[in-house]
Amino acid sequence: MRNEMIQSALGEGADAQSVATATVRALTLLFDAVKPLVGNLALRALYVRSLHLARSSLERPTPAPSETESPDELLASLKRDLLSRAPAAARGAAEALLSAFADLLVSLIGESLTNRLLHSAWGSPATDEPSLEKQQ
Amino acid sequence: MNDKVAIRRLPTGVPGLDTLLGGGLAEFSFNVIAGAPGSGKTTLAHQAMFALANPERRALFFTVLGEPPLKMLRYQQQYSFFDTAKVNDCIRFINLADDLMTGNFERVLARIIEEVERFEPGLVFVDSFRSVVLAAQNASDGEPALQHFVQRLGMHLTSWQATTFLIGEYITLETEANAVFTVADGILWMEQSVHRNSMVRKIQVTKMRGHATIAGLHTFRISDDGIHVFPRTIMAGSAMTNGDTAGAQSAAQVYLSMGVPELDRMMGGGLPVGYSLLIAGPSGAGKSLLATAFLAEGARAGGKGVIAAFEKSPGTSRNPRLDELIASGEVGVVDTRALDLSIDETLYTLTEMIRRTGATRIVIDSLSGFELALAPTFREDFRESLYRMVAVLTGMGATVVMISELEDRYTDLRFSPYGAAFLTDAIIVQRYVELRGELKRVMAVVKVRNSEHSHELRLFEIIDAGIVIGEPRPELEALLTGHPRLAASAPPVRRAKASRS
Repeated sequence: MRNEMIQSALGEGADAQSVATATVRALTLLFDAVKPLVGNLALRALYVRSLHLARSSLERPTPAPSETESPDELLASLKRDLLSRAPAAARGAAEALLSAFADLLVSLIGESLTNRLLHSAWGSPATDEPSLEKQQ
Repeated sequence: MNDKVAIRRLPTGVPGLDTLLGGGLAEFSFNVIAGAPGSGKTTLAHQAMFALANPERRALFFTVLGEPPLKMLRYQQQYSFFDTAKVNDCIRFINLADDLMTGNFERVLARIIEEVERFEPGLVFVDSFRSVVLAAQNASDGEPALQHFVQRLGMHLTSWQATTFLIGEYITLETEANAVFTVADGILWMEQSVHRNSMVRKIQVTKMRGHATIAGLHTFRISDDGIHVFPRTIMAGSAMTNGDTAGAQSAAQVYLSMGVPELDRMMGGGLPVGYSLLIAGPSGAGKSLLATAFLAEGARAGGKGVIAAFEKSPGTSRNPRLDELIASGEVGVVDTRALDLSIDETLYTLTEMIRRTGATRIVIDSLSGFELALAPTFREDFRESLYRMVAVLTGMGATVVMISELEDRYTDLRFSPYGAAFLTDAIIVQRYVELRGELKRVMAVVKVRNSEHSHELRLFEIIDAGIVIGEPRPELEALLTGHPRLAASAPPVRRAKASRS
């Protein structure tokens, strides 16, 4: 089910621009859901760890973030990296990163709570809309 | 017409805690849960939050700089009360670490208020509030700003009709805590102590505005289901088992059979209802068998019994008759975890089982096993606690049989190493004697308060069918020395006359 949610969050865009934009949007929504829960520092640590975990499954690893980059800068950096890739590779990198982030959450706070956060951020795969809460 | 405000009590969902609180926490109250790290504060807060939160009464849980939220969520999920379905809908967690980094209370307060106004929770938790206190000390404004902050927080959250809990690590009631504790409507103090390798947890309602609570320290346990408080059970006035009240009972005394007919006769008709009986004797003398006969007789008459078996682990075979009674549900067994029990936990378990099953016959096997099962810190007050326990159980109308294991001493007559004899209404003593090269058992009724009973020392045997008491042997004397001899002028065999103790 998580994979379906990730696919739904990334949309069906075939070019690198669409993939990069959808990835940043999905991560922004996810950060908005997770940040109140854990705070900025923990969120950044989770994201950096996810990048690290995703690197092992990518043909060309995403660059390691610098210590001083804010979450917005991290996402901007990710977008630049995805845009520099071929569409399929960009899609693969985005899926690996979102999966790593979700799996990391599952390993720490469990499947049920993680799924609630993903739903809260991205809505259900069927509707492909962020939760009502996000729209308020 | 009574137009005073009625304060609604919220049941906390923490077993036993509402008893301490006189029915629950006051709605819209501003409370502090304080104690040392690891004393169970966050668990208590979460347990109450998950019990109380629903779509109509939502909860906001602010985490500050204490336990990292990821870890808190990870570990708290292990408790059965943690319901992930409530997270984000009824319960929202919000981390304030970033707001607190500046040490600016105004920013923290503004964020809390902003979230409260947006979510409109009925319950607000701030964990750990000590982080705010420490940040205050580091900031130049210090304690006055903290007091100002707490007062504004309390005022604002009460105005928004939120029942609030500030959670903080305090080893002792430090000066800095005054600002918080003065404003608080209620203070729950939690502590844990290690004594001779056993840990005991206690909780105290230090302050609770608006309603009476049960004072003093009460033990609690943390299990997979969370916190369970065992309120220090206090006997009601009518539960006192001293001679005066027992005398008042005697007019319409009802006797219970011990399951050994001849012993009933020796006791003047049996064991009076609501009495406590001490069966004292050496190992293997037949104390547990007599207690089993007492329970079996109750079951035969359609009654229920309870045994707190400290000598054996639950599930291990005691004796076939007792196993049958337990298997058939006629006798309940109190699960006795060794070495860290409190009297209150034991008493709670016993009274719960009595209420649930309607049991009227209680056996505690044995006092020495019971003492061993207690955490060492409670052993110092064992005698007083035993007195309280007997009073509570007999006050409930139960008849209590306690077994006391004693080594045979042939120079004096003792009944219990705990001085428990005075607090029981009846005593039966069993001993070994040597007669013509054989080890024999003798039994006597030492005391049955306000009853006429025999004073004979009677030989008895244990056979498959149970205990068989022999005929009186007045020709024998010096049985208590362990070496009986024929009396110089042995009277003819006759039944000894009963007398009142």
